[in-house]
Amino acid sequence: MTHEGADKKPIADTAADWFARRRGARLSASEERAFEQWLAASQEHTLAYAQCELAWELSAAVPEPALSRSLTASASPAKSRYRALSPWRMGGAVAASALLVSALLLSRSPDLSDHYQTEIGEQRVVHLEDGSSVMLNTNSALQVRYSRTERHLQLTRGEAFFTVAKNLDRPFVVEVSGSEVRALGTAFNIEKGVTDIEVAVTRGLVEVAAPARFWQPEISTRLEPGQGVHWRADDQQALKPQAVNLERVTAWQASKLYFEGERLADALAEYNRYTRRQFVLVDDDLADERISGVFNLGDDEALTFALEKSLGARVVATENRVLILADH
Amino acid sequence: MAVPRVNLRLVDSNREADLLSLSQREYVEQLYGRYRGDLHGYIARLLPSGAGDIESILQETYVRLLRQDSLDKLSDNARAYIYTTATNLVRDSVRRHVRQKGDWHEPLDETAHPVDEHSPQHGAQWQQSLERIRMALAALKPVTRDVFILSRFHEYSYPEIAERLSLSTRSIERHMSKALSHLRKTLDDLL
Repeated sequence: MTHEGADKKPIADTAADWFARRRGARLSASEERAFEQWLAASQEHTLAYAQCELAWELSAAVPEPALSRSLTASASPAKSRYRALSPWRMGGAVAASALLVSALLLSRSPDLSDHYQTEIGEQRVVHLEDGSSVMLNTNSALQVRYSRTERHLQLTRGEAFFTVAKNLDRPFVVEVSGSEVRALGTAFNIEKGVTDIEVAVTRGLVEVAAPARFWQPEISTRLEPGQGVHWRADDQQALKPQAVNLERVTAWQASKLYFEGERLADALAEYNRYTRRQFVLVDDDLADERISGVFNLGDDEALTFALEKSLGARVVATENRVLILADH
Repeated sequence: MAVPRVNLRLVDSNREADLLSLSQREYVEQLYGRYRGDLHGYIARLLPSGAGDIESILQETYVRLLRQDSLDKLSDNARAYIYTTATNLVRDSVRRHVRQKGDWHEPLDETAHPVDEHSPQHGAQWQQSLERIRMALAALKPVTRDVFILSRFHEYSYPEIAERLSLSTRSIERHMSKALSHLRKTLDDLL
């Protein structure tokens, strides 16, 4: 380095200086030459610099929740559901650094990434700072992290419907089980099951992409309104758009479930997502029966009635369970 | 011992012989052998589990050492050169690993589904190393940490960070250097 005392500095510190400088701005040709000379002067220099680069890469691998948990002992990210102001908007370096110092640090904790979640049977609408909104279905969790260049969200559990404010300079990307759903000014639904993911588009254009891996390049497909795509989290080979019934996909937003000839076993699994009192199919004989109709979420009696009348099932309700038996 | 097969390589140099002689190869072998055990531990601690296997990085390190232009550097400072080679290979693996995962992580939420088919089974060693790096970050002075985080995770440029924090661009550079230097020392401990 060119400043005084450089030769007395430990190699490691000089390496870090160079790394920091080169990251900050493009070096002039003569600075770059000085860097190359320093690097070539000793194997120890090269090693120290290589380790800076490795340290830089490794720092990105530290899990964010681990950071926020240990550093902000009392912080409870999930409680910060409705933050009206981001610290940046409060203006002034004092506010910014006070908040930074006390809360975050070490992480992109509540101040820079928000967590929203719903309990079983709960639904909620989240209004985001850019004018987009997200409706979260039952038992769902979402992380939101907005940077200057990207609106990055992650659906970590459950289902959500996204209404996206258009901003071409700041892509809206939802990550789900390692894949990305990129909105291009639009509205769409994502359901993350235990093994399967389903995306359906009601408006605009959406791109779904499985990021490049060691063994494969990026795979992506574009969806138009009325189209959807369904894949297994462990098999993103096939991303084939298909026509979807939007009324059905979005029925949950009106607290309704929409069945059209589903297998009873599947329909009950769907219904059970919304209630702690689980419907249990005792007789496998009934599993393949078909069920159609629109049901209000949480209206156990209506479902019971339908099961009794249309399938001739016997229904035994207890406090925690509703047992469905074949009426032999 | 079987005679090793060595490929003839045409290199642009003044060397009289372009192929690694048997004695040169034995020399590389001997040096590599001396550090192989330590190197294995080094890689094992720094390579994210699931990001590739240790043996293949060792193998690739060895192959690179066998190159003609490695000889001078090896005789200059064998240990530093071998570790640099391995470090660069690990760095590339980590970069791919992080990119593949996204730099996002599932929240450790007790109510979350325990099933996440994509979270890799991290080895205990790797977890420990991550913890060391986390501690290193935690030990930074708050303002240094702010600077580092804004640069590392939020893609702010130095002038932008400087403006946010009412500091000079030059001091942003100094904070970045301190953060890096501190993180790098963590690697020394992991050696």
